[in-house]
Amino acid sequence: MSNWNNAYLIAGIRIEITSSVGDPTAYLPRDMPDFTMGGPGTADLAILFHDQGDEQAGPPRYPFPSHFKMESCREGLSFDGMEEDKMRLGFIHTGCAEAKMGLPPPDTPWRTAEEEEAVREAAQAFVRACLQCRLMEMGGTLMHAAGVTWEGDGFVFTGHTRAGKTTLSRGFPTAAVLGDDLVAVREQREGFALYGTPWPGREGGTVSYGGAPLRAVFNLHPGSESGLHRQSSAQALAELATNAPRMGYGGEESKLLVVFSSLVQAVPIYRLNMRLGDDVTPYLRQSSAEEGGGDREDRP
Amino acid sequence: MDKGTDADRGLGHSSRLRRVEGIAWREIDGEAVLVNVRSDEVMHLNPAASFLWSSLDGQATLEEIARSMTGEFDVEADTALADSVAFAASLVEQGAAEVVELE
Repeated sequence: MSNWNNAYLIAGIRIEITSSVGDPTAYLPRDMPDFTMGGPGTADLAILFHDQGDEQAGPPRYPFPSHFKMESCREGLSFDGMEEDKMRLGFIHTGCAEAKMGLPPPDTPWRTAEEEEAVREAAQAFVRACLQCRLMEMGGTLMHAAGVTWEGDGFVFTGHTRAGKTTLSRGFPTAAVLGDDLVAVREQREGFALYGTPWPGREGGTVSYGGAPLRAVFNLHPGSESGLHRQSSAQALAELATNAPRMGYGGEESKLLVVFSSLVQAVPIYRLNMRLGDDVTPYLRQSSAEEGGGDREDRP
Repeated sequence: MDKGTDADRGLGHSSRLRRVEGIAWREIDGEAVLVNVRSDEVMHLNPAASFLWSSLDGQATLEEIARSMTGEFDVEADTALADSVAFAASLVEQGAAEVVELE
């Protein structure tokens, strides 16, 4: 079977996926094709999907595990499925520029829909882990957050699962919502930029190849009182770390804290107390004014 | 600084502690943020607690750390030592630090 390959641009990172088991599109996130980036270029991250049977003694094991863990191993990170016993699913080389994962061919005759779904979840978790590792190497991270653009600038709203990210996103035009579940931020020459990902959640999913300049991050706290409070760098770091997608491995968590430390020193972070359904644009305006943006209508 | 629930917990003035592996941490503006990878907990320490945490190198005793603390913060030596022992005990209880046994 000839190799399948395609290139994507996510958070400014060129990802090349090669598969020796056939077209893996069915295993990838539904929105992944939106991030396709044609033309020549050097890959920042190369992912190879190969036949699961290549390295595994005995027949492929189904269903795939539903819990995953990263572990440091010689020359990189092992991506393991955790069920009754540990099952090596993939491997990410040191530096996170190359990774590979064993998969059953997409045309496998599945016994149940659950079996196929389990493989899809594992493949997506692997791609997400590879992206996160590479992002951290390049001064960025995924965030469990909603991301919107407003008047050309990017704003992130993070918080626990029922903090109101989705409700808040519905208050913006669809084209302005990068996602309400997983967005990416990355340090650039002139500050941090905000990007959508192929895992936008329920709302949005607008692709932003170039990224929007990130102007503020809001830690959402739903309640009866409303108000905006600037957080100290350490407060902000603690809150961002609490809401971050967990890597489950100390070395990677340390890298994440380094990225978040840069973020909280480069971008204002606020605690936003608000009632579910409140219009947040006055807070965006207020945060911009506090940062010296003045009246936004006066801006060119 | 947080007080431990059991100020003794086997710790004394001459105890030496070190930070355990598996705790990711970062200090910013004198305040440390810790991520316990195993328990998935995040801790935000005040400046005095951060000073103690960053001093847990397995070499200095709690008494030595507390003495250094009086030079950095407006705190009496007895209070610094009592608080250090109590906080160190809470770190051990949470699996963030461990006692170093001298050979």
